[in-house]
Amino acid sequence: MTLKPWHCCVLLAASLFSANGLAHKHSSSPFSWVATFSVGSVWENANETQTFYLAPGIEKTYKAKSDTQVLGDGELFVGLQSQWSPSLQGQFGLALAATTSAELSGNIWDDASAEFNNYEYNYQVQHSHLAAKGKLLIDRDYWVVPWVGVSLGVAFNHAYGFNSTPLIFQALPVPNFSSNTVTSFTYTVSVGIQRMINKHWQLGVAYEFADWGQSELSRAPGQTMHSGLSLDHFYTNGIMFNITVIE
Amino acid sequence: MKRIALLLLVASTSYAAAPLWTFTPLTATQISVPSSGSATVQYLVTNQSSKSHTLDMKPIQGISQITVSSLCTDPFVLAGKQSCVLSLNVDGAQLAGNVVGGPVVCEQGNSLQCYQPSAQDSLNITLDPVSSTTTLSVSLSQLALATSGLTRQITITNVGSYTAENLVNVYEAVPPGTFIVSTCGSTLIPSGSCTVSVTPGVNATSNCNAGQGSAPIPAMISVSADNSNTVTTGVVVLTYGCIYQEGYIFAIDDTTSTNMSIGGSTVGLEDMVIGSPPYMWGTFGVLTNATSLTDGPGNTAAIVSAEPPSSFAAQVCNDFEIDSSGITPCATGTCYTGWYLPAVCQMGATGGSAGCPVGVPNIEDNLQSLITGCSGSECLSAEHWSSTEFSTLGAWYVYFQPSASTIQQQTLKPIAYPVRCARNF
Repeated sequence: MTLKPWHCCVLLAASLFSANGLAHKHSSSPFSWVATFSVGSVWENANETQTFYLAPGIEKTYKAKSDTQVLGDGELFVGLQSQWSPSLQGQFGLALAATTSAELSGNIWDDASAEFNNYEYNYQVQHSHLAAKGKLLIDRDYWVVPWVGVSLGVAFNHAYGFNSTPLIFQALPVPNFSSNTVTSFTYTVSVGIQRMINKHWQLGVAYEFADWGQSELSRAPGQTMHSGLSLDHFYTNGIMFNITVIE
Repeated sequence: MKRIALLLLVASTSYAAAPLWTFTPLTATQISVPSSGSATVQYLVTNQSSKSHTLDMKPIQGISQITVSSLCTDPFVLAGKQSCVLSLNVDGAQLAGNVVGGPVVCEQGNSLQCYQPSAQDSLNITLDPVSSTTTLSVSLSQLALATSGLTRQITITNVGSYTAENLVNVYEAVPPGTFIVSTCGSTLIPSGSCTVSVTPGVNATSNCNAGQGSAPIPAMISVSADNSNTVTTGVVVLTYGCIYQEGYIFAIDDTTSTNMSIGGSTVGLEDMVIGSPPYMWGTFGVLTNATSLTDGPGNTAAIVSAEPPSSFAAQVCNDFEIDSSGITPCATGTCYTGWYLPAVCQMGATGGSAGCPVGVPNIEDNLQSLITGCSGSECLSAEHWSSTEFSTLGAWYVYFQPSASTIQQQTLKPIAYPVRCARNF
């Protein structure tokens, strides 16, 4: 699902709802600025086998190599925190995130048949996004503060560097799919814990699930049907460590 | 579920790699083509898939597809597992250079799906450079000179279209004392010529005049270039007594043009044995007017003309032929004809009864080795007819005797004597 213009109204409504948290009888604290910088590792195994015609008479299967890869991920979150109740805090703001490139690879079967497994391929996808993020923190004077978070935003998924190599002398090198950046709807869901260092500084760790959304390579020279390799979803799971500063 | 199934299938190397269409050579694929020539290379193209494919060869400059009758068309459709013969015409004049690799055949000519033959079955065409072969021609294939005689020359001409490169003269078996000088340089332009001059020494080739005479083994002059044929001339330096063209030389004419061989006269290797020797001279009482003391050919012609066909001496010589292998009648090689009955002064010397003038080369003077101290069938002894008529009734004969002058005498025409024919060269 790519980002639509009406989504912004939802985000705006969500932020207003967050602001209304100020009117709660238990919440007399003003907004506090909060900024969180997170880095971590995420795992993905997103490649999928695809079969399609590139031109009339030319049908190929791109057989995905099933390979779990670990990527680096980083996020900067800036927002406002408010106390909703004695033990509930909310944060809302914008998150800007980016990952290292994921390498997707596999084999190419001419005529969509395993008998003609004649090429290897690989390409990269690099993800960045801008999202509206909200967190709900449970502050019950535990040693750590558990929280859950959700973000919804727009992703820029840059698919590039497609290359294929013949596996036999008789198969000639084939023109490559072109690079392409897709703007797509993206979301994350995270659950984590924070530990106060002092009044203003925290350290935390969280598990994060993300769906990068859509990615797609553009056509190769000579291609008249379908697009380049594409994925509708790109799921990652990861552990993010964060340092948070709060006003 | 699909993902689980994929994970179970582990690494992709468990799947086979195979060309979608294969090329089986039907002709040699490693060939050499001259720039002025052409060649044909053929492959059996087989669609290994069960799906139909429409195939087109990627163009190669100088190579075109032959599409007649049952060959692959251009483009060609192969149903699953079907084949056709891809026939390629290689045009040397159109090739840009060597062709290594290919042919590449693609689905509808699209680079997204192309296959070629295996490395060892791929095209390997070498374009020969422009052929600059030229042709040399030589004026004489045989050059005969006289000992201590005039310098004679052969001319080599480039009758082709290209310059002959790295011209080389090779001389073999040149008799001592004979000098060869060439004006040929290392190149010879088209229509150009050069000469090789031979100056004979005092020695005859192979010492052919020694003993009872022998046939000389020619010295060889060969001229060739890197880009031409080889022309060869056999050279012989001759003197009296040498065997030449199946006869013993008794006369030499060194006044011929120096672009040619010497002239001269020979006498047969042995007395005539055709028919039933010895032979009568002619018909008693028939005047032939063959009266020359020195002109054997003229006399022979007159006798043959005046007398009916017969086995008379002059006729026997007139009809005689022998080839360069010594076979008579001629069977192979060069055939030597034009034999005649020699005139009396060609056989005996000055001072005899016939009154031979001075300066006529003759057998007595110049072939003593066949007369004195000679043994074998080549020897000349006792009576031999000449072609010189004396009267209506008689003609001259010569009596060869060792260590003494020949006797020149007349006798009646019907008397039968041995005959030794002569020939001019």
